[in-house]
Order: sequence, then structure tokens, then C-alpha cells
Amino acid sequence: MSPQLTRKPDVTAEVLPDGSMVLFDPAKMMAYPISASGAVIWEAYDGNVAPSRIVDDLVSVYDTSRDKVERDASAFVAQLIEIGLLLPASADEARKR
Amino acid sequence: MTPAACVDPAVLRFDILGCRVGIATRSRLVQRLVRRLYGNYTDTAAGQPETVLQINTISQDGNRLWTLAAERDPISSDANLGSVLNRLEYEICRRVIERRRDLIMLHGALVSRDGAALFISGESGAGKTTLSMALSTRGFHVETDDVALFEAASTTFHPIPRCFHLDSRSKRLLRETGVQIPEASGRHNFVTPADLQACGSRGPTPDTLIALSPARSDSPALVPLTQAEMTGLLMRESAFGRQSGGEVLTALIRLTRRARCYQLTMGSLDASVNVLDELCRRPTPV
Repeated sequence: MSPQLTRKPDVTAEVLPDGSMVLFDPAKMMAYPISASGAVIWEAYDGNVAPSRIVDDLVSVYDTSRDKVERDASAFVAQLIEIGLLLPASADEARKR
Repeated sequence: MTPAACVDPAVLRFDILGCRVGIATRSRLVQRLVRRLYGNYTDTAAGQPETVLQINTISQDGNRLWTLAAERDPISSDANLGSVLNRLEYEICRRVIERRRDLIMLHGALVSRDGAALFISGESGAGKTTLSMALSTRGFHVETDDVALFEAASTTFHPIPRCFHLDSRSKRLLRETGVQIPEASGRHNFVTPADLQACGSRGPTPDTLIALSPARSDSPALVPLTQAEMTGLLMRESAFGRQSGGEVLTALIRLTRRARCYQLTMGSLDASVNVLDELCRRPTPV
């Protein structure tokens, strides 16, 4: 999982009672549903949490191997990058991490 | 002359969710069919309707044609009354949606039973109409089979009264499940909830949301969806006038956050109805 990423500004996130989350990109008028584990990853990209910690957190919650969590999380992050919800972080932000 | 004497007795007046419409016709058959659809929305207030739609007959080359016009502007004509009635219904529906741009339009069927309501979304042709009509044989009231207006603040549903648009296959399937379609309504393809004696009051907020899969299976499959997935699906099946996308999303989340959400892949009609019947007998988690 790449540390050099940041959330696209203006994208809003709503958590539902079942733990799932809807991301909304007002520029595209598109809503993107994500799972509860996806929500953990999204919330972690606030600039304050190292990607390795995200994987640690997921491994502690889900009864599965670290390898699988890393693979799934990487695939999910790649999707977020592809649809433009995660962007390359600026140099300043990257240094902070 | 008193004001009452000025009212043309051939003009039926309805107030459909704030849209005041008159339907002028001398045909008793049309009057009877139209009353079955809009009878719960009779307009008794003073003042004139915003629009008067006229259904008449004309003779052309020795054949009788049914015509539909708005304020004398022709809209359509056809030898088949059913086609003209369907266009009339479309014109009214369009005007209601245009008039109520303060509400969110949701594409889907709404059925209710014993205070519980089920909203069934799905693409055109997915089977919403057939399924909701078949549910009427299990005591469900059909509020709408196609479109409802959603009031965000109160999460109230306002079904727009519409006919069931049935092809011959749907009619056959429904007859097999025991749905009785009155002859005149069936012949003119103007089957209404009242024809099924399954016309609900109005506006129950659904506690169960179903997304119909476009796929078909030998036996029906009901799979849980997350509330976020259902919100995303409803967002795609909605149209909004004055609201921003963010406002619509917030409104839909108000709906999904209190609902249980599933995707239904239809099997046979009877088995699919059994699945939803059974689901609605289970208590909704608090």
C-alpha cells in the first residue's frame, strides 16, 4: 500500500449503521458504496496513520492472514486511485508521513 | 347561472400530489377507467385545474380514432384506446414530477402489508410490476409499481398513481399465480391497483429494501446487501430536481439506515413471491 496518497478534497463519507460507508464525489455526482473494512482503510488515509498500521488494524479485526489482508487492501486502494478518490499526496504531505 | 352550473360534467378533476389536472371526455368507458386510477385523488377544491387533457374520438377514413389533446394541442391519436390511455397516464405522471421538483423521484415499486412496507428497485424490465402484482395475492397493497416521490425530511413516500404496464407473458404468469384482471382493464391495458383491490392508502416508509437483479435463476436467491450498497443503487435509480447530489444522498441514507437491504434474483414468480412473503413475516431488527 502506497504511503504517498491522500483523499480527494470535497469527497464526503457517510457511515451507515451496519458499518458500511458511502463515499460521494460531488464533482462527478457519484456515490461509491464501500464495505466496513474498506471504511477502515478510507478513514486511515487522513494523513495521520501509516499504511502498515492500517494493515495491522485489519489483521487484528479479521481472522485472516496478513498476506491476504495486504493483497485485498492493495487491490482496494488501487480501485480508489483508479476512480480518483485517492490522489498522490503533495510533497509536504508526503514528508509529514 | 350559479358557479356550479359552469362546470362541465364531462371534466373529471383530480389533485395528484399538488398537481391539479382535469380530464375531459364524453366516453363513459374512459371515465370509468380513469376513476379507477385517480379516484383517491378527486379534486373538490374551488378553482380551475392547471391542465385539462381531453380524450375524444374522431372519424378518419371511415375508422374511429381516439385522440388525446392538452388545451386543444394534439398529443396523440390511435385506433387503440389503450395506447391513448397510456399516453394520458404518462402525461399526468410527467406533470406531477415536474410540479413536485421539491421531492426526489425514486424508480421502483412500493408494496405494503400490515404497516410494513417493501420498496423494490430495479431496472426497467427487471420484473417490478409482475412481482408487486403477484404480491397482491398475499395481501400486499400495491402503492405503486414504478415511481414514487420521496420527501427527504419526513422520509415519506408519495406514490404516483400509475397503471401496471403488462406484456402478454406477464399477464399469463400473473393469471397462473391467481391474479384476477378485470376484462375491460386487461383489454385496454389499463390495469390499476384498484382493479386488484390492492390499492393502499399512501406513503408508508419502507423498512425493507429490495434490489432486483437483472439475472434470473431456477430458484430465487435473496442475498443481503450493505446499506451503503443499497444507497448507491437507489442513487442511480433516482432523479432530482431542486436538490443537490449531496442532499439526495443524505436523504437516501435516512431511508437506508433504518432498513434491511437485500438483492433478489428471481426464480419462478410463485417461489419469488414466497421468499418476499416469508421475509416480511420476519420482524425487522430494531
